[in-house]
Formats: sequence, structure tokens, C-alpha cells
Amino acid sequence: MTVALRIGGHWHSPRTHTPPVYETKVDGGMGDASFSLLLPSDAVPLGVERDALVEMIEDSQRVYLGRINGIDPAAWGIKCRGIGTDLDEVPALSSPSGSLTRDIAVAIATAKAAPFGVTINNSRGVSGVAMGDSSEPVMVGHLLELLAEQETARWGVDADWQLYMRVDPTEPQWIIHAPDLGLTDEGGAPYNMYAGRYVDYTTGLYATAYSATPTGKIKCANVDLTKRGQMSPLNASIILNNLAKATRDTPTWGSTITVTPSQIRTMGMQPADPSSVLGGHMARMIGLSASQQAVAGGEYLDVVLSSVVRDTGTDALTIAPVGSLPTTIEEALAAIA
Amino acid sequence: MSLHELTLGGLSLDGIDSVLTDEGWMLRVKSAASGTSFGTSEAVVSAVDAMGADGGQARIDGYANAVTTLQLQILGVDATALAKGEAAVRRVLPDGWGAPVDLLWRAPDGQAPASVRVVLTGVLGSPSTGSEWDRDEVRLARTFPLVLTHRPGVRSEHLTITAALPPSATAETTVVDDCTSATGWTARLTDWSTAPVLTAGANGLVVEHPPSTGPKMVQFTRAGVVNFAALPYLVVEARVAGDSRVARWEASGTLRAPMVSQALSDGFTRYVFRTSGVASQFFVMRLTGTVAAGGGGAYIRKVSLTSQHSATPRQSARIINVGGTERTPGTLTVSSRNGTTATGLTLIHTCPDDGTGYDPDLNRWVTSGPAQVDDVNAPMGGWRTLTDYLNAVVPWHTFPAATSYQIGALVRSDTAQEVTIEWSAWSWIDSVPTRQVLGERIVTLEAGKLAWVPMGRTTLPTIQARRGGVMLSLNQTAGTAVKVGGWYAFRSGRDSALTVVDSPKPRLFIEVGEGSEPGSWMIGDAADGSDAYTLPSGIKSPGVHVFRAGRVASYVVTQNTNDPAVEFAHHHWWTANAADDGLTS
Repeated sequence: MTVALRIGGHWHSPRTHTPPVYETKVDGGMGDASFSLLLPSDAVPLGVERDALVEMIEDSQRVYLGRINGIDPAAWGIKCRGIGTDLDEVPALSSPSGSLTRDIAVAIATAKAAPFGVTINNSRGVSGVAMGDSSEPVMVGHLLELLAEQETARWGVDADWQLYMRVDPTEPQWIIHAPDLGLTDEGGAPYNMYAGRYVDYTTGLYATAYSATPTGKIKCANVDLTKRGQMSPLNASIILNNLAKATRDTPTWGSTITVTPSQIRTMGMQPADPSSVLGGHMARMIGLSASQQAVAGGEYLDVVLSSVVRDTGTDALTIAPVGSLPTTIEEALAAIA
Repeated sequence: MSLHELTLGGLSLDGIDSVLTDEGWMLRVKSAASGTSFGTSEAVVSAVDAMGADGGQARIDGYANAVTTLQLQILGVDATALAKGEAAVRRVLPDGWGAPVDLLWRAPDGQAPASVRVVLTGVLGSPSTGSEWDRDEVRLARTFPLVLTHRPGVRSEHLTITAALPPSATAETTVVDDCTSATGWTARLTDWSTAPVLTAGANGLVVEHPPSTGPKMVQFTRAGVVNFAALPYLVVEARVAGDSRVARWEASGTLRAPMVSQALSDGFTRYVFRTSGVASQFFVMRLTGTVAAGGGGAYIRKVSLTSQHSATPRQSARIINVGGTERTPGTLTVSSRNGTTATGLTLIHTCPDDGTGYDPDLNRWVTSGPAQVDDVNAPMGGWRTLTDYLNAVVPWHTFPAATSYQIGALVRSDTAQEVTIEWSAWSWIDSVPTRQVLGERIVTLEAGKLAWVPMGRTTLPTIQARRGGVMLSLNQTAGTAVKVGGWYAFRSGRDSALTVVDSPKPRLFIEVGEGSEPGSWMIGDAADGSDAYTLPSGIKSPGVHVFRAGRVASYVVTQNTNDPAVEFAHHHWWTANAADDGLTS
């Protein structure tokens, strides 16, 4: 259960630091982490400096990978950022001295070469070209965001240095008993269908496209896509469908909840291995009251976890749903832009 | 006359050894005075809210330091001697920065084992200012409260060494009894006056009895003297139902616990006992568990003597008895038998021995997949080239605790390459796979070098089940097929740990520190550890091994050396008084 810590390649015995707290996120993979070294302030711990690599290893398996973001000198408090942020620090270029690119595979290859030397691997072969012909400089991380939004997927870097791009799961992997879930009825925009005005690329005239017709009560809203320039009817409906997906009329909860390992279980009702519950997984919230069920629209609520914060001391997990659901159409449009 | 002893860092505070020193002072503890007490530790208890239940689950997370206060009186021939005595006491008091100091107490009967408290800080308080103060000064006596903060619990005086098992020689096995006939056997149930019926069948000898509440003890006795000392190990396969299954061999009048227990596929467990120090005698075996009729009886089969205790020469299991009643620090040593061959890539796993026969090796459960090409140099006794799914079905009862497991494999690639290996864990009920946990590892391998690849972590079994098992699979999805030389499900979670070290030396020392001491993972040449050092690049995973009183199972995999010597040195730890001296237990 004890997590070993390696900072800048140097082992720190588990008894010389507080149990680390780390986060995994649906977007980006590794999130923030924090711990304190139990050392007097005049001690010199090996490897501890800003941007030093931080690895957390449990029974030989790496469960967290990040970099030191800040050091509190008073108590040797260490704050870390996820390894995925390495890609926010490198421009997306076709070659180190070349031009901007919107092809992610090319951008990653450049980032891995000198002088950037990013050590994140793309063995899974994440590829794709971000739509548009913008000449704005973008960082690799931002390019991945554009691509992910375009494909309604999520990107991240796992604890194994590997880049990934994947869609949200549709099947829950965990069951969480959460009778005290604070559900809010304000989750998502209250629309489930969109009608969009756009400029057709063959005729140059205004036209209207629709997202797919939802089941149940139709709650339709109008959006203006004309600012994006000319496009095909297919592209317009793709954007509108993604918009409907992003603003799906799902209830969410207001604040994070903290669960112990006995409250979060596998679908086979075994206690979850706390290191296996990651941001991006889908969980089924059960134990809802009748009023909560009325909000959730069923006996349970399936949610994609946006953030899972694990305290390795108590193995308590603090989880948040994909709660940053856009609540206005403007936000939703910005998110899929 | 009281024979008690009380010393701090070798300085006698009271008792039979407290005599007038050359400087003209002596010490005694005013035990009658109020304010003298040995402290015991308070438990640190945490409450965890249970799932949808009333009340929380209270758990002890650990113990806080304890404080012992002694009213220490210094007696002297003159006032200068009093001050010199005070200085002598102060010199032995630890300040918490340097090494701790032992406070040893032996009870007044002079026979009881001494109890040692490990003192972190010692403070001499204000001298007594009571009504007796002026008279005490005239009588040349000063009394100080001595406040000692020490680690929780007490330890026995001496270090307990758990020696290595005798080396496994070339395989040699003598069958004592194959248990196909009940002739010569008798059985007894401890709490029933009627002798139970003993029958012989396909599964060996069995005692069945109508269901009863609670576990029962069944004793099997075989007539005929056997020379157990002929070979170093006795192997018995036995089966009894129940959550707290216990098997004991009665050797020379005492009950011996097994040093290896390994679950077999048909509900039997293979128990290995040491035979050292046992003369020629009858074979007597006791099984404790629930006993019922209709297949739920107590079984015994295949009693044999052998020279080898491990499943394969490079995968060694043993059970270590940890004395006392508390968690203890200690040093676990793994050495190659000749003291010169480097152990190479070494995995050291420890976990509590819960009697379930849990064994991390997955190869012995393989049901389908690439054939094994035998090679004594492979950790699991052969190599399986990962050209197809490698599947193992492990019975549910070897994973009783529903805890986390670390799945991993020892693999070797002939060429330097990046490979992708997929792993999965399915529940396997009535030969139908149901719930799946799936992951993959992308890893870069060096040419011809054995590598430990941690695949993933999951709860096992993946579903709640009292039948069937778990199907674990490996499959390579990218790269030239690698050779699997061992694959394991190491128990994780509370009190379990895994250390992985790639060592160019013949010995490995894992020191579990006291209290908050960091502990160490060192390698070296000398048996006593005098030339040991830490090789940071060789440490792949420093596990925090936990040794609680009771039985701890260790499982060691070595790359280069057969049947390594696994030794453990520890002190017995107790609550407030040591019940043994650590040498005799």
C-alpha cells in the first residue's frame, strides 16, 4: 500500500515523506500531486529542484508521473504538475527550425527531437490533423486539445510515458455508493438538439443543419456557425452533434465527494484497487434517494470521472464528475471550436 | 532481596547492579514515590464510515510514542559526587537526533526476561522541591523526575535470528505413504468421544462427519516408525474446509507449522514441514477446519519426504515466524548459497500468511497458450514464447482476501525492441469468463536481458465469488514475441510489499527501520553486511516490508542463483512486558 517516491532519479524512502496525494484527470492523464519531505530545513534531499521528475511507484508499478512545480521552503512541501504539461511547453512545429504544423504526429516527433527532447512517447500512434487553416502559433498540448475536441475524444499521458487519445467509456467500471451526493439540477445546458446556420461551401448561400434528433422531449436551440466560414453540410452537422454531446442534458453534482475503498467497488462488487480508479473512467453512482433519482432520471447515475484524487495514506479517493459541463451554449461552442 | 534490574544505556538506575561508583555516587529509583510509572502507548484509531451502514469501522492505524517517568534519586558521599552523578545520568540521555538508548527492565523475581524500551529522548526535570528537599540535601540525596519518551511497546533483550532453510539438494523424494489404503491409519476428533470413520478413496484418506458448528480438529495417525531425519522436508497434501484452515505436524511431541503452503487446483493444499531435529517416530498430522459429510471432510494424501521445498529452484517460498505480539523492524537477507554468484534480477515479496496457500506463481495454473520449453535457468523452470494468449485459471480460494494484486512478468527479448503486452483478468465461473479487467504495457527491452515488467494492478478475484476462479492472460500485441520466464500475481495492499532489485552482488539486505527510520535496500559481498551499499540504479522498486507478529510468507525469485538462503533477524516486540528473551521462544 505504501507508495515509493523517486525524485529526479533518486529514491526517497517511504518513511521520509508524507503519503503523497495525486490526481488523475480525464483530460491530460496525470494531474497535480503533493507531499512533504519529513526533513529538517537544512537537509539537502537529492534531486529535489523545480521541474525535477517525480515518479510514484507502488509494488514496482509506476502510478504517477509528473514534475515538481513548487517547493515550500518552510516544510519541504512539494507540489507537482502532471507530465502531460510537458507538451504545453513545446510549440507544434514541422521541424525544430520549421514552420507551424497542425499534424499532431509530426508535432510530437519534433518535440521529441533536439532541442526540446520531450521524453513522452507516442507508441500508440496518436495522429490526426486539426481542422482549420489558422496561422496562429499553437503549443503541442493545445493542438492535442483541438484534435480531441474535433474527435470528441480525450487526450492524456499515462504514468508509463505514453500519449493516448480515446473516447469516453460508455460502460461503467466502478460502482460508488453515494447516498449523500449533492446533485444539482443545473448540469449541462437545457438543450438536446441544435439547429445551425452556416454558409454552404458549394452554393455560398446560408443553409441550416441539424444535430441528430434525440429521443424524448426535443429541446432545440439555434446557433450561428457562419463565422467559421464556408463548410459542407456534413461538417456542420458534425459540429452540431458534438455540441449536443458536449451539452448533453445530464445532471451533475456540485462539489467533489470523497469515498473510502469500501465505498467504491468493481462491477463485481469487490473493493476497488485504489490505484486502478483513474480520471476518465466511468462510475455508476448508486444509493440515490427518490428525490435524487428524480434529478438523475433513474435509479442510478453513470458519470465519467473528470478528476480522481488519491490520498495514498488513507487510500481515500476524492472524485469529481465531468462537472465542467458547459452550462451555456456560448461556452459549449467555445469548447468545440 | 529484590533481583530487579533497571538500566538506561548501560547505566544502572536501580536494582542489584546499582552500586557506589568510584566517583562516590549511586542511583536508585524511588518506586514508592508518586510519579514513577512505565508508560504504554496509545493506539491511533481511525474511524471509517462503512458503505450505507450505521456506525463507522474503527481501525488502529498505529501506536503513538509512550512516556515513562521515573523519580530518580542520586545518592552521594558529598555534594560534588551528587553533581557528578547528575552529569553521568545526563550523558546517557538521548536527544532524539542521535541514536536511541535502551531502557532495560527486569522484574523483581530476577528470572523473567528483560523488557527493553527504545528511548528517543530523556529529560531530567526540576529536582524535587517538596518538604523533604532541605533534609535530602543534608542527607546528600537529590531526586529528579526523569522523563523518557520511547517507541511504542517493548522488545525482548536479544535479537532473534531465523536461519536460512537447508539448501535444496538434487531432487530426491521418498514416499512415506500414498494414502490409498486406510490400513495402519487411525483418526481421532478431539471433541467427540466416538472414533470417526476413516475411509480411503481417490482423494486419499478422508474423515467425514455430520455438520457441526465451528471448526473441528482431526488427527491422523499412521502406525509404523518413519525416519524423518532422512531428508530435510516432509510434504503432505491435505484438505479441510473453513476460513481458518490449519495444518500441523506433530514432531517430537510439539506441533510444527508448515514453512510453505501452496494451494492446489482441487482444493488441496501442499504443506511443507522441516524435519530437522525430529527422530524416528509415528506420523501424526492435525487438521483444523469445518468437517462435514458428503465430500466436506478432512482429507490427507501423498505423504512424502523430499530434499527440495521449492516449486522451482529459482522461485523460493518460505514462511517466517515473527515472535512477540507487535509489528517489528528487522533485516531480511537473501544470499546465493555459494556466497559469490550475483543474484541478478531479484524479486522479494512478503505478505501475511493467512493459511490459504496463496502463492504468487501463475505458471503452475496455465491452462492454454504457448508451450513451455524447459530451462533450469528460467525463473519458472522454462520459457514460454508469447506468440499467443497465455492463459492461467487460478482457483478463487487462493485469493481469499479480495485485495489488490500486482500482475507482472519476467520477460526476455532476443533483440532490443519496444513491445506491447496486453494483460487481462477475467472471472471464471463454470468455465465462462464474465467480468474483465484489461490493460496493456508498452515497454522497451534490452537484447537478451531479463526484465521485470509490471503489467497492472487489480482486485482479485474481479468479482465476488465462492466458486470458479480467475483467468489471467498475457498477450503480446506489438513487437517480436518475447520469452516469458515467470509471471506472477503479487498480493498488494496492507502488510504486503514487493521489492525488485537488479543486483550484481551475491547478497541483498532489506532493512525494515524502526519507527520512522527509513530502512534500507542494500547489496554486498560479505555475509555480515559489512561491505553493503545501495545501488540506486539497481533498485526497481523499494518495498516497505511489514513484519507483524505471527507468520509472514516470503517469496523470492532470483535470476542467477538456485534456492537462495533467506534469513530474517528481528527483535520480538511486546505491549509492555517481554514474554521471552528472543533466544528461546
